[in-house]
Amino acid sequence: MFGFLKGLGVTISQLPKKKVTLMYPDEKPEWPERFRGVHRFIPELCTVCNQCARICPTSCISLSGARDENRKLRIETYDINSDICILCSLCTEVCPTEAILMSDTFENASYVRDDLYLDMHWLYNNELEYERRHPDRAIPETDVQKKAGD
Amino acid sequence: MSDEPRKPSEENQPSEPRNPSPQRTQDPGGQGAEAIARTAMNPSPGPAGPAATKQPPEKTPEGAEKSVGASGASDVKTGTAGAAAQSAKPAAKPAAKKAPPPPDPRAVAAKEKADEIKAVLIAKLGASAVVETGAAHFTPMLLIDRGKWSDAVTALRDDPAWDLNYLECMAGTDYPEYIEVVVYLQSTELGHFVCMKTRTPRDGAKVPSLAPIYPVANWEEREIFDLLGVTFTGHPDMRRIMMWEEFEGHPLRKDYSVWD
Amino acid sequence: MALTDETDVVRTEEMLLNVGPQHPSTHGVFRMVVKISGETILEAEPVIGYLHRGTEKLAENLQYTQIIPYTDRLDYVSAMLNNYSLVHTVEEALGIAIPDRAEYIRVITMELNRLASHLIFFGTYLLDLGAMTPFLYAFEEREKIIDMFNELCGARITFNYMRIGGVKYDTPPGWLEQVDAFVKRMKGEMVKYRNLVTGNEIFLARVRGVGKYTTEQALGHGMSGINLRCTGYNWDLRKKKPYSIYDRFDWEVPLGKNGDCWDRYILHMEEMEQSLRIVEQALQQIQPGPVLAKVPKLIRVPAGEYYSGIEGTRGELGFYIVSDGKDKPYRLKIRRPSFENLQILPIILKGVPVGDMVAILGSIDPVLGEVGA
Repeated sequence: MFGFLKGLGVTISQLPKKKVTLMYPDEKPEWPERFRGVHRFIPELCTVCNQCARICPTSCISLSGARDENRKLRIETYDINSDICILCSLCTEVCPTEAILMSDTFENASYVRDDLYLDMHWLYNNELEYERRHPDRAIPETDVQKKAGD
Repeated sequence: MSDEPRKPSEENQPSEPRNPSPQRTQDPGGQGAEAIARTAMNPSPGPAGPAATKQPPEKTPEGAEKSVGASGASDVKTGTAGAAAQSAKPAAKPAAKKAPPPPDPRAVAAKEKADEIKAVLIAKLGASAVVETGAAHFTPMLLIDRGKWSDAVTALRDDPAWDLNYLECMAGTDYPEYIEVVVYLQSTELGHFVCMKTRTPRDGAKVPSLAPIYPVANWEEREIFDLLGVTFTGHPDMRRIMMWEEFEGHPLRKDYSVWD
Repeated sequence: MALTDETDVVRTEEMLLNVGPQHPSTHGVFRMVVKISGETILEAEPVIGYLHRGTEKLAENLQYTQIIPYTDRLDYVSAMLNNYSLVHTVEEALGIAIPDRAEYIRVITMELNRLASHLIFFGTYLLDLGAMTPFLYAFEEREKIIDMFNELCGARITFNYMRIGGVKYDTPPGWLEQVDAFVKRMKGEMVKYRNLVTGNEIFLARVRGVGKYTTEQALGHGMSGINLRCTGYNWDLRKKKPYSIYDRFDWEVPLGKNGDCWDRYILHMEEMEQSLRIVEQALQQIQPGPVLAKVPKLIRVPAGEYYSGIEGTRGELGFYIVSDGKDKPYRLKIRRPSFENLQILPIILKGVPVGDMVAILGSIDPVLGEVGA
């Protein structure tokens, strides 16, 4: 008999407590720094080492580069097929210059599959958006750019 | 930060596993990328084994010298089976290519246990039952003749000294000449952990079923049948389990092509 | 009109009921073809394979580090333990020594994940039985755990956190204090769950004495984990075949008595408390240090066969690796606990009223991502 009353006591004790529901989509969640959303890419830092394409478990990265006037490799095309990307972030782990990173864009749904094939411009745009949203988290580009440039 | 292409350096990497000493260095703020990117140093040769030698890592010149010798050693290595000796050998191989180090004592103990079981089985089932014994990475391993497969497993289950009452894992592997069915048996009371295997040719693969002995083998054998094409004689319900009934082909076989 | 003899008028037939792959209570895409006569089940046959994604075949073309994200998706509610099982097998094969701090972080995350998984059991089991409130309480707590994991490794379910030789990141500043606060809070919540559910008479009437099996049946069917310990048999891989640093903590293995659904439920609750104990002790013992051992960039496992199993949330989760010396496995076989545990269903569902079918299936606690790997 008393089992019911104890249970009822628990229910009533919940009444004055604060609600934990997040009213999405009116309120968006705040993601931590390490959150793995769709990628963001900084073309100036990429050295076309191809490590990200090799480590990807689903082979969704394809890239190509060419040598510029200083005989250094510069990236020309960089595509991520986010249709098959599993957001494991192994590519960000192996990148030696941190050119490819994860952002916190998580709303990736699209009506057309072609929109999911992200090219370098979209990814760089994503990087600019990310820096705009999180000015305190952007990597100090100037020093790294200098080192990669010389 | 190193920014050269990684490919050439990767081929020169010593291919053997090493026993790195976990250094008390500063791990830079959780960046796993840097930790992975650090090339490992070869510890100096010695009685290496899973009891890791806490020796400081060597400097790069010796590492380069070892990597030259390593590529020769790796060719010899890949052909051999029997993992236990492998983990002990590699650290010594590059520096002293002549004498292989003594095998790990755990592997020796496992082989002795396997020989004991072999004696038990030969006493019960005749000399042709056990084809080979060995140690699959510190687990006693026996290769049983296909015809005596279920008899051998029953004999070990009923034997009070071994009492292998728990089937832990059953798997099938597709090799170029045969398909191998492996079963790991455990005695929950006495603590024995034994690996038994049997081989069958790839065409018309048939193995006696263990389902009457261990009911858990029922679905395991159905899975091996479905994905590898091995028929288990005496199984109460031999049908496909993962793929649908009308599916043709056995996906886990090495020569299976998705494009039919 | 007087009915002289009821059997003349009432004609009964056996009915084949398809508890189809799409069903809210079958814990995933799981199908049972059930033959019933009236309200009693005569035969039940599970049909699986709807979630078979070919992980074992895919793994033959992937390096060991690349397989880790795939293991997340096996038992998707306890991804840390799946990651650890693969990484543990490879580390045993290579003979690497893991840094201490990495071991402690691994234990903390694994036990928190075990807690989260048992919370899902608590929530969904009671939801299957018709009680909708505990689900929300359980998921509130689970959200806290998952948010902590989000801060740690960037994802809520598919963590991809363990690496061969340690873990991927060190804990962010303030994370361990968060875990500490959570553990203290959770102990109070366990009392709340006890009051809400464990004493409830309706719940007791539905699960007591239902779905019993004996130890011999359980051992013969290769059951492990809670499904084996509910019969009273003491077999926990963390104590019997110790791995990692579980021997440094002081905790117990709860055991059941009868082997029925009630025992399984209570064991889940008690294991949650033991997990909290372990996490508490680990938080006191953890020291700063490196979190990844020095391993080669390209991990090659020496030729041979390796098997090692750990205590997953549902039983023994093991990986069997056949390697020929390359950086990709020749054969990777995953020993999945839910796959083995489900085999006992045809036996314990015989002669049981249809209303108990969901209670029994829920108490076995399968996760279909594991069953069809």
